[in-house]
Amino acid sequence: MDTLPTEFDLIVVGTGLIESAVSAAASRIGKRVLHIDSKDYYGGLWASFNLENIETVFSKPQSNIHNAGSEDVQLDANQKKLVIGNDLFEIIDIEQAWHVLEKDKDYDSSLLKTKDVAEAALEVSEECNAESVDAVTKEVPVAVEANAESLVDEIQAIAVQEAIEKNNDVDIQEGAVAVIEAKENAEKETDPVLEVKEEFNATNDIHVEAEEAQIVEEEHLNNVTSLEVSAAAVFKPWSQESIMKQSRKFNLDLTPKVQFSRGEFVKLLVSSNIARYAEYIAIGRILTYLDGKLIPVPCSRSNIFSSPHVNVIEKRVLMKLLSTLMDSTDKDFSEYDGKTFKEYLQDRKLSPELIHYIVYSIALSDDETSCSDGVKNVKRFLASLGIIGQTPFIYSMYGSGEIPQAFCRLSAVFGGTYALNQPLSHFIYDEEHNFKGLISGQQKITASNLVTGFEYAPNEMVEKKEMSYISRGIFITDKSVLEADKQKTSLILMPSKDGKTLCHIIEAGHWSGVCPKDLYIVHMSARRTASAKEDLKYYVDTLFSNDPNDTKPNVLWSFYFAIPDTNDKDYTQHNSKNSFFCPGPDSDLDYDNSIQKASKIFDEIYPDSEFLPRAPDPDEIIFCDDSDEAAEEVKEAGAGDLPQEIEKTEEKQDSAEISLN
Amino acid sequence: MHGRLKVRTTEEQKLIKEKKQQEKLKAYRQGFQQILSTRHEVPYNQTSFAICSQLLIANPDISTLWNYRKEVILQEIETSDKSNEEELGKFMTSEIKLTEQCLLANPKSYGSWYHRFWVLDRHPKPDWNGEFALCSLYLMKDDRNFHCWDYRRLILEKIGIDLDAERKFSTERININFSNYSSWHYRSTLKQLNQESLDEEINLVQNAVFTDPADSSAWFYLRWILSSQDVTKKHKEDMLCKLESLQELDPDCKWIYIAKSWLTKGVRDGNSVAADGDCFRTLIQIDPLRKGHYNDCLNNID
Repeated sequence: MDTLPTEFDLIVVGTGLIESAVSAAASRIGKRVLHIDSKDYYGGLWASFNLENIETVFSKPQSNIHNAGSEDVQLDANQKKLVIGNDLFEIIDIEQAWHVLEKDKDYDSSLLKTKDVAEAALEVSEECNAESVDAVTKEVPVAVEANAESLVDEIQAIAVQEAIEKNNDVDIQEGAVAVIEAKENAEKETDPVLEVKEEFNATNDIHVEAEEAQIVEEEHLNNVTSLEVSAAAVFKPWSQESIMKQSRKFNLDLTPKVQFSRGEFVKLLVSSNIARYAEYIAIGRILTYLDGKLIPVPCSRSNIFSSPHVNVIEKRVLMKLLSTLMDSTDKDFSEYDGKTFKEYLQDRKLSPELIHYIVYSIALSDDETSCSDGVKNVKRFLASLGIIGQTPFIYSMYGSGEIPQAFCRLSAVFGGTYALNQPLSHFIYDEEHNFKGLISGQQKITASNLVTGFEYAPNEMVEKKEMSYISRGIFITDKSVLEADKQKTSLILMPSKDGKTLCHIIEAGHWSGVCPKDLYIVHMSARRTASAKEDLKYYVDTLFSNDPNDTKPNVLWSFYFAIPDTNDKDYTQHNSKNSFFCPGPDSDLDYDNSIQKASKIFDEIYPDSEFLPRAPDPDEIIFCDDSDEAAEEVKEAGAGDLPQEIEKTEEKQDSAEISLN
Repeated sequence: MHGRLKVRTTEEQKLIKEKKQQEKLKAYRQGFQQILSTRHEVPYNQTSFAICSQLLIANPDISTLWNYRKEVILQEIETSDKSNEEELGKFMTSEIKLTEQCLLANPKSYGSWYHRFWVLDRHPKPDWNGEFALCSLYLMKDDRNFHCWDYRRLILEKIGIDLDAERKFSTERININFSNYSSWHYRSTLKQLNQESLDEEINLVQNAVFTDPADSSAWFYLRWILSSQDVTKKHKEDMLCKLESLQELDPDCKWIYIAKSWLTKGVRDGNSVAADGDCFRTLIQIDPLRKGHYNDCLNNID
């Protein structure tokens, strides 16, 4: 194994979001940072996995923490070794299940035959030559394939009839295979997907594929898709085999998050130039569950205008209330001290429907949220509206696991040393609980400060308290919870039956880069009270169905777990002046609180430096060959506030749009 | 990373910028001179024509330059091989490409939009359908560019209008942002109102004025609707009733008063005359800038 340098300013253990942000900030100001992880992937509890890996990540030992070689490491007299890791912060309630048969051929062939032969017949009827018959039969399951050839003649006879019948009520049925092929070709043409770049602020752009881009794609395909037969045309139920075949197209988040498009976090991504390391997609709609139905929440001005779910008077009342809240100050709510936000709205004599929309969606609250918190949330929501798409939220393409990696990338660009999959065994502390270094394999690495995820904190440094958890469910489904005329990533905010808690649900399709075509990923997150599965049962039962003929989506694969929420309590024991423990994911919808925590840790270590100042654009960098000199100058660039002095030119604005990938 | 930051003070940058601008201006003047001095040459001067493209990309708002181009194009058309249209087609297509670049520099350049249509109209094989698709795309990105809305009408004259599709398009644009005079106006050009569509349009415009009564665009559309022959007394009464309830919520919105006066016009009885009078007197209070106009209205009632 290559040996690492043995002395650093800061060692960061674990690649979760907060750890990565501190790492990036420290590298950015020229500190020597070692960012090390025993895991072989980035992100820790914030990572995204493909379908195959997410199953294995919990089954194999979570890290390769071990002792081999560590006994050879010599310590100073007053130093001691503390074993890395503890038994407190573990993922629990893990339960994975398939809800489809294992192989394609396991499906009842007689059942398939009736449907498929009919469908195949239609296809055949349109395609006259033998070659296309082959193509068609390849698409239908094995059981039919055997029969298809001999049936061709019969089929054609039936087909004519069928086609006539079908033509009466639905679109013209065309050869499904040909259409699908044509569609795929058409898609190739539109690749790479158009990026709608929204002006974000004066100096930077953030890349977002807003829904409008989808319209373009769809329009482009229109001549093809209008002919396209329904999904059942190639009636082929999903099997474990067919889904696993596309395992690598999945990006399943352990911690799914959305971001307020003008929240603190996004502002930081933009101001620090980290935004260019990731791509984003607009959350196209917010849904809520009201009177037994999923309904798009009228939240923006144009949503309110076009929503059929609120009458004209309600439109006015809602708009008025939102602008009142937007312009309000804390003083305006002094009489609601100790009362809930819902009470405030009830006193305004709003209809129950409007209260539902405002409390559970716009205020991201539940029945017990205090008035002041509710108002604060509404303001935050409204401040991010109208920036990108129809909702205040954006989601990172290819899953939330991209976000910690973007920070790691910046850290590496500014000289941070990265080492994943390391045999970490011990932290070294002196008797005053000062961090001295760590042992990786046979190597002792020292640093002035330690930043580590809580899951790596040694037992001796952790105070045992009752843990709270976040119940999580990940589901692969076969259709959207609410079909829309264009592809929309959805945020579903669903209060529990008693209204006391709010479940955050994100549904994304293949356009977000998180799953293959024709499948959907649904993430559920809620506070854990019983167990992950029990906590989410109500939402699962409401949104999904087991009946393939139902309009609700079927769950093809489910995965439950609960991750510890280390944000609300302080678990540290023995105040160590130079070690900082980062909490894991919180139950918020977004990253704002987490990034504040990172900023706080950074300020404690480096009180006189700015947290993640703007990074230079590529065209501000003059390349030269002398590497020694260059290294010196990087440091200079990091330490000073030179970038701010450079006046923004038009060329620079262009270059800000060029991704470094 | 092997790099360092370029560092220039703002003073230095200012100087560099000024110097660059001076150079640019000099080149621009020279180019212009060159074009004017060779403008009437037959056959046209290739260099001047090339310079003209450069100048237009830098500033697409000089009509003289566009006119020069049109003279050249007419020459090209006249001298082109009538049996082989391909050459001319190529030339015209490159002209269209130029307007594209110019519109990127200034999306509201009258000259560029006009030139684009003028060229397409003379193109041996104009791709009107492609142009139409482009136009839709453009309006999705920038739905308040009235040039493009006008351009859309011009193209539809060529390819024939699908009223339903256009109506759907305008509804979509309005749903995304109803503070848009262009799309409301476009809508008003699409269809004669009749009993059936009237209710639909009234509903749409009511949604808009209730969502944001301070936004003037929808009120103008309402005024257009009211000009229809098919608006019945019942329509007006219903709407007055709705506006009353809107007024309770927004007592200071001048548009509600104004709309009420539109609605009572022509169906006045003793009561409504008095009501109208109150209406205009209130308007004088809340919208003093148009005091004179409201006074006139008051006089007309009496």
